[in-house]
Amino acid sequence: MKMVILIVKDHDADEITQALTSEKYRITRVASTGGFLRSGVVTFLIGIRDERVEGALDLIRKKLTPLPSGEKRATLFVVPVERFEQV
Amino acid sequence: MPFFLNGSNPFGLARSAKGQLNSAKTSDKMKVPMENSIHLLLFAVVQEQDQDAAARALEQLRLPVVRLSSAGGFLGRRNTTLLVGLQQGREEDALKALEESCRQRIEYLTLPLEGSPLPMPTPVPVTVGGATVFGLPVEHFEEI
Repeated sequence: MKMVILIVKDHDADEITQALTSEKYRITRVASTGGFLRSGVVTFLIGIRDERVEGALDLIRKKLTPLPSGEKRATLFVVPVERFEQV
Repeated sequence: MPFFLNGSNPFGLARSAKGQLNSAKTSDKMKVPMENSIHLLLFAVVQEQDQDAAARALEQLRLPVVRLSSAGGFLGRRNTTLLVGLQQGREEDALKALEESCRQRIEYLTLPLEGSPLPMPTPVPVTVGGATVFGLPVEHFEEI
């Protein structure tokens, strides 16, 4: 089990939410502000089974195509999860 | 826990933060360390009144910060969780910046005196603050 912590701009958040939820990834959205991209950002917490992590990253990469300006659109961290439970 | 009751564990921050960092380091040794890549993700829970100083201190170290607003469990007070990605060797700098910007302070809470027939509020000193820092090992970091 992994947790992907994904930080995107406000205006990309809905598209990412749609894309991930329609592929049955379970996500938690946290409204936040950030210096990474210096504006309103949304942090996603996504718990994913190991074998589905690459799929999720590919989906995110596909949705966030590079901007002509070269500006970064997302920052993501993958951290290991020792224990996961849904109760 | 961002709050400590009076007299308990004033050094909790340094100890818990170091413990987290040490464990992250040992697990990192098992992998091939990548140059310049983010290897540790800090979750720093700071008080609302310290958040600007803390974020500024980290940004001055060229550490980008994401802020999440959150609330503490004991006093229910608003606080801020800062997310900071760290490269190898930046842990101590980041912790020092947090230690300098997040101070512990004593505040007085008024609680009704137990067993008193009349509601007699008595001020109780509570040590609030510092920062609570978790360090998580990062297996993969990417900017898209």
